[in-house]
Amino acid sequence: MNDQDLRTALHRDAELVGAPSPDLLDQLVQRRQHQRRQRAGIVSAVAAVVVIAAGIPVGSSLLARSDGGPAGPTTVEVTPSVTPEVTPTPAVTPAPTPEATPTPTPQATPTPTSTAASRTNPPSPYWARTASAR
Amino acid sequence: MGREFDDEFAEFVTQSSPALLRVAFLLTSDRGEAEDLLQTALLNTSRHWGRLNDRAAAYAYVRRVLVTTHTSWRRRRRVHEVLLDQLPEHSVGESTSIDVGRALQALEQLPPRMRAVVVLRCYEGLTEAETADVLGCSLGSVKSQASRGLARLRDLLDQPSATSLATEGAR
Repeated sequence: MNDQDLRTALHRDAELVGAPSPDLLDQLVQRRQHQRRQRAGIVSAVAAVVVIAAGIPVGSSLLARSDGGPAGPTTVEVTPSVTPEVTPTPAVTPAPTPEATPTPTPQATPTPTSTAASRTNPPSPYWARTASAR
Repeated sequence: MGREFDDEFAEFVTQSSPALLRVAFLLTSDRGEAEDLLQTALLNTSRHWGRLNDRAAAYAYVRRVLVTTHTSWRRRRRVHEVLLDQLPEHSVGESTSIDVGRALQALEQLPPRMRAVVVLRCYEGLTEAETADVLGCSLGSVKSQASRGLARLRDLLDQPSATSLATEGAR
């Protein structure tokens, strides 16, 4: 088989494909629109990733800044106000119970005895002394 | 549907798509794949259509895109292609309804680069220098690929039956 025969055979077989589809241009338009949608999706996805990647360090730096600034004075103001309030309340509550129980019992029991003793014992020698002296 | 292409490109597609489809068919041996290849090449060309100063060279430009796209497809599909033991009962598309000729069957046995050289040299009638320009390779490479491809085609076509073609191709 020479080259001319080969060329003829190739041309003959190439004709087997027939004519292209009549709506080739419409198919091209559809594929182009599909490609555009794909590209827009890829671009938006990349933009979203960039925004998230840039937002993480910015957000963390903002958080760190907010922790160092306003949070300091509030903790300083809160801690001393809480601690003195806590300490007197236990001091007050145990104080009445031991004072209340011992005070009435020694004062109540000795007063009648002491008043009776003081009224009976000291005037009698004092008045007795003064009266006897006069 | 919006106006996507200008009139000049639409006219070019109408005029030259039959010849380009035949080249794509010789490269792929499948009508569906040939149409897909042609559409891809035309879409790539439409993106750069405004920068094409020489409209007469548009056919050569699309043909070049056809060949390079086909080569890259073959490289990619060689990895992902899955060969089945049993063929499906109902085929998709019109490719199997076409009675493929013997030259096309022999052409299928060649590697993609050699096949492109043979198609460009024998079907499109390009010179060796033009073929080297289209493929982006050296003149010596085109000469060697063309001579080896044509010798292989002659061997395959001189054999009597299709079964011997298949066994020869398997080697």
